[in-house]
Amino acid sequence: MDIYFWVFAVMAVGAGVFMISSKDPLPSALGLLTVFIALASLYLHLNAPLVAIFQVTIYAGAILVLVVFVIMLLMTPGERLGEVQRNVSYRIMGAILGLCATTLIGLGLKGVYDLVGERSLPEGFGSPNQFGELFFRNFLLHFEVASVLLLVALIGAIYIAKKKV
Amino acid sequence: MAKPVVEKKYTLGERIYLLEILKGMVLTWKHFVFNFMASFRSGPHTVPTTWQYPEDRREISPIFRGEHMQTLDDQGREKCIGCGMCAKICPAQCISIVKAKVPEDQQELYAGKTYSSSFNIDLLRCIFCGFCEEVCPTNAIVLGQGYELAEYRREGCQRDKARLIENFRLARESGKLKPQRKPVIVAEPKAKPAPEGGAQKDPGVQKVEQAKPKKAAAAKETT
Amino acid sequence: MDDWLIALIKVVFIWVWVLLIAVIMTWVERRGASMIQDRLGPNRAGPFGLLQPLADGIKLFTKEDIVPDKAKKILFSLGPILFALPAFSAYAVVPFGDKIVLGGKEIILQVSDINVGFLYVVALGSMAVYGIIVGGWASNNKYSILGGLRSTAQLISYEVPLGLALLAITLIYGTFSLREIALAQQGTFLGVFPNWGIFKQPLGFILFIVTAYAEANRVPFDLPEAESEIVSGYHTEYGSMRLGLYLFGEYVNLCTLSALIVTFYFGAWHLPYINMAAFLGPISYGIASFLVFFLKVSFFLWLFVWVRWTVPRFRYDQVMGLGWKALIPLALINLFITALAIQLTI
Repeated sequence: MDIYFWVFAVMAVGAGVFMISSKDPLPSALGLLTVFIALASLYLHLNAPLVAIFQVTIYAGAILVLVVFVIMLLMTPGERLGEVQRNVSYRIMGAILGLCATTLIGLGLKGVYDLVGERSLPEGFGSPNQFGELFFRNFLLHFEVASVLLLVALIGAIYIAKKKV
Repeated sequence: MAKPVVEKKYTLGERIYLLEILKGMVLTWKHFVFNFMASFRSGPHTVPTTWQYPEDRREISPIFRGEHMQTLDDQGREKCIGCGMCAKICPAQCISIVKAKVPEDQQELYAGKTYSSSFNIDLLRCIFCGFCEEVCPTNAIVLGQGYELAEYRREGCQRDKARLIENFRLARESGKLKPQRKPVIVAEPKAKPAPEGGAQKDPGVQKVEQAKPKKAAAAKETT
Repeated sequence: MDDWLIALIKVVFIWVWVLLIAVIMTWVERRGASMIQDRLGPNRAGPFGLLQPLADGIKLFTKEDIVPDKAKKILFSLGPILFALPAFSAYAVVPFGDKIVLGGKEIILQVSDINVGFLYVVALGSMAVYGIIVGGWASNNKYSILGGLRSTAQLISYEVPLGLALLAITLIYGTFSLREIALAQQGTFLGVFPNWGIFKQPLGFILFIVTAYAEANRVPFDLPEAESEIVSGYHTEYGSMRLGLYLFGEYVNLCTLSALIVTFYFGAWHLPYINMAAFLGPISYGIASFLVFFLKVSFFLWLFVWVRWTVPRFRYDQVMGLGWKALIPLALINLFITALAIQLTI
């Protein structure tokens, strides 16, 4: 057990708990930001700098900014999340979703562990070159399927937005 | 009449916008180079639009209304007769004046038969309207050219008679006196200066009187 | 241990250097502005007013530190730090010179040559917005919130063309490492041009410089702090050194962006047609490469000032329209053409 892992793991979990328990929307979003950055640091520790950078760029830099944008657009600074947090149906839904997610992640981790086992890293692991090779040679179909899925989501979003206008 | 809105057709070059920015930058560059060179030039007032203040002062008008001064006549006598009209007309009530008879042994110091034994101006209250100057029958009080009146203490902004006469001496030495605009009545001063000068038959006073109703009206407006 | 020491010296050196440039930039901005506007500007403190930043600094430090009553106290103090931190950290991957040989040891003039340096820069650029958002939100002031909102929307919109313009650069040089990109720009291209990014990516350069102005919140894209509309945007409620940190962070940001423009498009430390390494000694070459780099950087810093006092501010919808309707399609076309050209030439 190394210190590096524990520092950022505790940071991520602590910030996550803060995020769901915070009464104010913006500190909550900042808690999520801390989670993302702690996770990115863990990726760095796992010899995956590219994933770490993508984590920061995409999640912290783009998606969370959008979330914050919505918070700022729709809420006033004095407003609190108490109403939403007290809603029982939300709580039950969240519990079910969280349970499902945890189960999925656990199963996935076990699957990966069984498949790979413990072994030393290959030469140049985690570098952008190898990342690109894997993505666009070995897993091109998966990549394209994912991008088509995102495109469908985008078109769907535009359709829904257009109908209301 | 309202101006009709004209839809301007932009050319492609204008719509790309970068070329127009470059044009603007050439213009600002020209200004920059000119002023850059000017900042190295020695001497005051190297840049056309600004004055580098403490070194480089603007020419002010000869009829500028700045710090007051008490004038002396050609023989070096005080012109002020202590009539108190300036104190009365002053809309800010910043002048306080004490009138006294000229003692027998000091006749050569004062032009009139009476004089002001104390004459104080509170510059913190003064609004530099120039009414005191307009109303003065002997042209004794004049607003000069001094405008750097900031002080660290309140007391520094009080002007007594000595200081006002000193102002006049300095102005006279540097040739910054205003041209005279009113006839001066020194020869026959009134024994009893009335606020309403209607009873006087003196031609000089007559002229002052003509100017006066307007000023009185103006004073009423301001109060 | 030796390597640690060298790394530490490099970090401290570049940090102090950037701070110094940011300080001087406040003076350059004020005097440049005044000279463009037919004035002389602050010329009292020291020779040519060069001590003016010091006077400003003393003023900001000695002012009362006011936190508004209804503000969110913790977030309010967090804002300026969140803003300045990414600006400073971005310099970790910028190569500020080639290399210098001291005591038989070759030292690369770059704090850290990581293989994802390019993405690191983009990631940190997107982090800078949090400082503005947090500051705007915590101030509990409508103008501050408007400034924060505008800045969020603007940064999201301009992050995309920025990334796409840089992607075309990585396509050409085939690497994410900033040092390798800089090294690849030596020599000439097609026999005539210097082998610089701008000659291979003219459209990419324009896209990058426009988005760089938007990322730095500079005129003509200074909507987050538009004085004539929303007082002074996200830092309306700030005073004393917290405000100083915001202003400082802005200039450090400018410095970083100028360094990036030079690294990507203006051949980093290379002089056109002249190979400095051929006739300079190892130590003097290191110093010369550093100086050349910062000469180029200072030109772009000046360009930021120059454009600021030339161009009026865009309207908000114009900014958004330019970002989404002009820059992103252009960036995509640029990327496509670049990819096509590389495919055809290889």
